[in-house]
Amino acid sequence: MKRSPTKEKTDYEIVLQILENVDDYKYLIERYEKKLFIYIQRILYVNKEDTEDILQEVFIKAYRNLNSYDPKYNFSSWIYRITHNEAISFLRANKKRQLDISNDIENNIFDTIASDIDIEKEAIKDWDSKKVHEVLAKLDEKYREVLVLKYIEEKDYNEISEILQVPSGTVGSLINRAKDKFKKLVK
Amino acid sequence: MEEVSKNTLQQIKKENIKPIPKWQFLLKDSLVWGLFAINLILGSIGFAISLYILGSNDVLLDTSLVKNAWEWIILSIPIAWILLTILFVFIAYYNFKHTKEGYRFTVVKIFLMNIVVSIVLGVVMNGFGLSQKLNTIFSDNIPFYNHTMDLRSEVWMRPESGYLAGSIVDINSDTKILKIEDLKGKIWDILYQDATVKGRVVLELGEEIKIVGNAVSDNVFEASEIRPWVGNGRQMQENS
Repeated sequence: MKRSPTKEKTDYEIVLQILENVDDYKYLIERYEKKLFIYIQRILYVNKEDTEDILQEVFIKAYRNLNSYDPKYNFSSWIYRITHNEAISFLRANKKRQLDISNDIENNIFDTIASDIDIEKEAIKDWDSKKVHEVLAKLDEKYREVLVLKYIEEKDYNEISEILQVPSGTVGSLINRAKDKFKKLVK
Repeated sequence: MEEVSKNTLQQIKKENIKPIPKWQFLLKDSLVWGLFAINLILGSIGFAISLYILGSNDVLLDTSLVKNAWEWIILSIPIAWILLTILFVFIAYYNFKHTKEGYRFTVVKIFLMNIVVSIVLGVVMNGFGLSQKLNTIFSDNIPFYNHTMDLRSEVWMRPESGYLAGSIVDINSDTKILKIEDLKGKIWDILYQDATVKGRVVLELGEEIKIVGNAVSDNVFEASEIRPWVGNGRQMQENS
C-alpha cells in the first residue's frame, strides 16, 4: 500500500503546506475529522447531519484562521478549541432543541467514564455504555464536555485548559464538580 | 465522512475563502497588549493623583473646614479619581484576559497583578511629583476639572466663609500686603501682618497658597494663616 508522505509530517508542517496549496488541507482534515466528529456528538448529542454541518464549519473557520495558529502550542488543542466554540454557537442557536441520545456512536467508549470516575464501582460496573451515555446527556454542557475531554478524549489538564480557555486550576475544579454531578445523577 | 473533506474544500474554492493574513492577527495582539499597557498606566496615574489629592487635602484632617460628614466625604476623598482608577484597572483586566495567554490566569490573579502594578507605579509617580504636575495640567486644561475631579478649590474658594486660595503675583514686605490671583483669576490684596505663615510657605512670586482669614471687602482679605497649596493639616503642623 502506498503511504501518503504527509503521514509522517507534523501538524504544523502540514499547516505550512496548506498555506501554499489549499488542496493539502485534505490531509489535515483526514487526520482530525473522525476525532472531531465523535467529539461533537459526545458533547452535543446531535444527529449525523448536524454533526457534519458543524464539522464543516469548524474546518472552514480553522482554514480562515490558519495564520493565527501558534506552533508552540498543540495543533490538536487549537482545532479542538475551534470545535468547542462552534459547539457553543450551535447550542446558543438551538437552545430549545432535544438531545438526540438515540445515536449509538461507539458507545463502548462511555464505559471509561463510569470506571474512571470511580463512583461506587460495585453499583456501576454492570452499567452498559448506553446508560452512561444517558446520564451524561442530563449533565450541563460544560460538565459533560470536561468529562468527555478528560475521560474519553484523554486530554491532560493543560490541553483541556487550552481547549476551554480556562486556567488549569479551574479545569481541576470543573472536573471535580462534574464528577459530583455525575455521581448525584447515578444515585 | 469523506464528504466533509470534499465539501469543505469545495466550499473554500467556490467562495474563494483565504486565510486571514498573519499581520492582522499580529496587529490585533499588539492592540490588545497596547490597550492593556495604556490602561495599566492610566490606572497608575489615577492612583497617583488620588494619593496626591488625598495627601494635600486639608479637609481630611481638618473637619472645621466642612459643615457635615457628607461634605467631609465628598470634599476629602477623591472619589472621581478613585472610580476612574477602578475603571482603568477593570479595562486592563479585560484587555489582559483577551491576550493569547490571558486565559491561563484566574480573575483574582489578574486583578491582583493589575492592582499591585497600579499601586507600585502610582506610588513611584507620586514620589517623583508627576501626579502633582499632571493634576495641574488637567486643572488648567480640562473644563470643570476643579468641580469634579479635584474638589480642593470648592473648599478654598469661599472668601465669604474665610477661605481663599491662589498664586502670589506681588509681594510688598514693607506694608505686609500680598497680591494673589485666586483660582478664578480675580486679584486680591492680602493683609498678612498678623498671619501665621506655615513652614513650607516661602512667600515668593508664583507660589500657590491657601489662606484662612476673613474678607474685609470685595478684593481685600485679611489673613490669619497662610498654608502651602500642596499639603494637608498634618504635614503643615510638622513643618510649622
